Amino acid sequence: MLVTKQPVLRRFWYAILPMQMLDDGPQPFTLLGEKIVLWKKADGSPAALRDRCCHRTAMLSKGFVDGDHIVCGYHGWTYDCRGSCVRIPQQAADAAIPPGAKVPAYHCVEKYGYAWVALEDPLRPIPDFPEEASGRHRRILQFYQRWQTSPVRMMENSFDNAHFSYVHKANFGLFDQPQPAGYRFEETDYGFEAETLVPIRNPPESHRITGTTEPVTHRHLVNRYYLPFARRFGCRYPASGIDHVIYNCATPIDDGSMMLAQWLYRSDSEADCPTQALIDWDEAITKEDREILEATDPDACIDTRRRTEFHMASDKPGLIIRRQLMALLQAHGETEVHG
Amino acid sequence: MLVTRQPVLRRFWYPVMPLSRLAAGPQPFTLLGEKIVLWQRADGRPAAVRDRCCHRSAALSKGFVEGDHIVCGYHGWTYDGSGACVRIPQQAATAANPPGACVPAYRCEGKYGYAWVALDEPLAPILDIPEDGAPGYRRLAQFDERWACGALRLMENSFDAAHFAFVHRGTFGQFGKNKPEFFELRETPYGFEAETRLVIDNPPRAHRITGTTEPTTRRHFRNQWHLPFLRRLGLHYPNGLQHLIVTSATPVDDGHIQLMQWVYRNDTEADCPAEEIHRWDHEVVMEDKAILESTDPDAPVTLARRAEENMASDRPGLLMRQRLLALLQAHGETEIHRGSAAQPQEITPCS
Repeated sequence: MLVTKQPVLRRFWYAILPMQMLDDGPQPFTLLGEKIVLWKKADGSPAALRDRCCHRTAMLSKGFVDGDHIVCGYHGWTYDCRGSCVRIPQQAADAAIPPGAKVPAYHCVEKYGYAWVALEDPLRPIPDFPEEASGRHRRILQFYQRWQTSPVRMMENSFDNAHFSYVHKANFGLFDQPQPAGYRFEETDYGFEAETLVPIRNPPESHRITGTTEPVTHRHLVNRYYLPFARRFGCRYPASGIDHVIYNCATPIDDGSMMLAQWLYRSDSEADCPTQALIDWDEAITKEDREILEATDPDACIDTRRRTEFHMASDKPGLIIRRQLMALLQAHGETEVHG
Repeated sequence: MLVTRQPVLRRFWYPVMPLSRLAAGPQPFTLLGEKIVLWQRADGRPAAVRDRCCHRSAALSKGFVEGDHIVCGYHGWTYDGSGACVRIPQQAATAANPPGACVPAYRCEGKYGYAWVALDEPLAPILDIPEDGAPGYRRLAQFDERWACGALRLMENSFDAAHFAFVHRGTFGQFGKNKPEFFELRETPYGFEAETRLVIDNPPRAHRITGTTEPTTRRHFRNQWHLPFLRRLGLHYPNGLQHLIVTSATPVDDGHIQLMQWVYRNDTEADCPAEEIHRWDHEVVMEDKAILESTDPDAPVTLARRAEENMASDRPGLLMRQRLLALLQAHGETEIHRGSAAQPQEITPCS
């Protein structure tokens, strides 16, 4: 599937960048092949427009912020968050702005420390992260990384119990136990929930992460897939009761790359396990996934009737993802567009 | 000619890497635009299959070797040298693999210290090198380099006596002697033989290479061109010393070759250390590289296109074009070049 060729994907919210990046001024981003610019208004809320001035096409991300508005760095044409040109500094203050002088504007809100954008009217709200307001969890913005792969590859990897023994064999994977644990599945309006209990290696360097010293311990996972490209890795270590809940948005940049946004919610304290130790721990795992995912074909086949890939029983989550994406395309009159 | 668009070129053997490199695990290579992976089986023989797992498309070159097999680094799907998936570790040992689970496999052999690959049924065997293993001869691996040039450009350069005085004026070429002595060409089934005798400069740093200290010496060239992109240069000196170079311009894609070169000498390490030989040949080869990378890799083989001007000493290169064009035509192809190229066709057979 070539994500830039499937218009329905424009109707979802995607995490674009951490809000604090906007403290440095307007920032460019490419979402589903579309070049956009984000900035922070006077009240701290974000806004997003097409990254091209309607005068001489300059990128507005090369400009600057003035109050609520973004100012083009070429001639100073100034836009509000709806994309309307509100000032042309070369004209007298009482002269009319040319009718129709505007650039396309996008839905843009702040949530969970990120600016989120939907290019067109969203079909669903931003996924709910209940840990954000639980009062028991701390939030860590773990990763913001550009990967040379596609969101489908990242999503299916997230629900794939069969790759641990290979990709993560140097880490928590049990190389001598390749047969994966099964999932309990429940399809939902947003995607699905998948619950499982997975045995993992627990070497001394992970004792603070798991909160236990037993050599092999378990993860109780209540994972969720949110159409099209977000997921929850809802991990609790039953031996310690510690929550290690990760959310990802695999934001589609273009047909060969994505931005990985990753949040971690932990139910322990900084004294129990410092933020940096948690980042380092998950970074090693994430790097292992990244290396193998960047070696796959980003144009992942979602219409399984094309038979370009072989499957096995543990691929069920990835196959449900494909089926739900296909149903989404079909409900909006689309078929899979591929290379 | 765009090498990736001429299927008949898939029917030749090409050396792709030194066998020694496979000791470090599976290695990727791109041959005629096709991504392949090579590995070494338990008995030391190399094997080659497409570098994409049939499960989730991961590059098998990111995986590892287990006995005779290659194991995908993503989920451990395991393939034999014929490309058949022989193990899916997540399944019970008694469970059947999905029918047809395989990746395309290629012919792969170890010879002369290199792994050779033919993507489709080869039209000719790997060339025979009588000096390999013969008493009195030593074999020295020389170069394994990526060049941004077309394979035909290196081949025609090898038989082009007219460029010595210009490109190699810093080494053996006699600048000012601009009128080349012609190669005598004899066509053979594999390509042609080319013979000539030349006076060459013999600077002090070449003395042990040529085995003489005279300021100039005679070099008797007894060269061979093997269709499509392999040369054997037989450099014979009056004192009986032989310097036999084998070079493959292994076609990577439409803009690159892998230059694979090894050499045979009938002297000893004491007579001329390998390092000195490599230094000298590398100096010469780098002179060629500098100019060849500035040429258009899409070299024309159809003379009727009149895309280039020619002169008398270009005859070996023109004969190569004739033979390549005849090869294409014998297999129902015409030359595909930038001006004629249609959409790329995908070639991914699965045996």
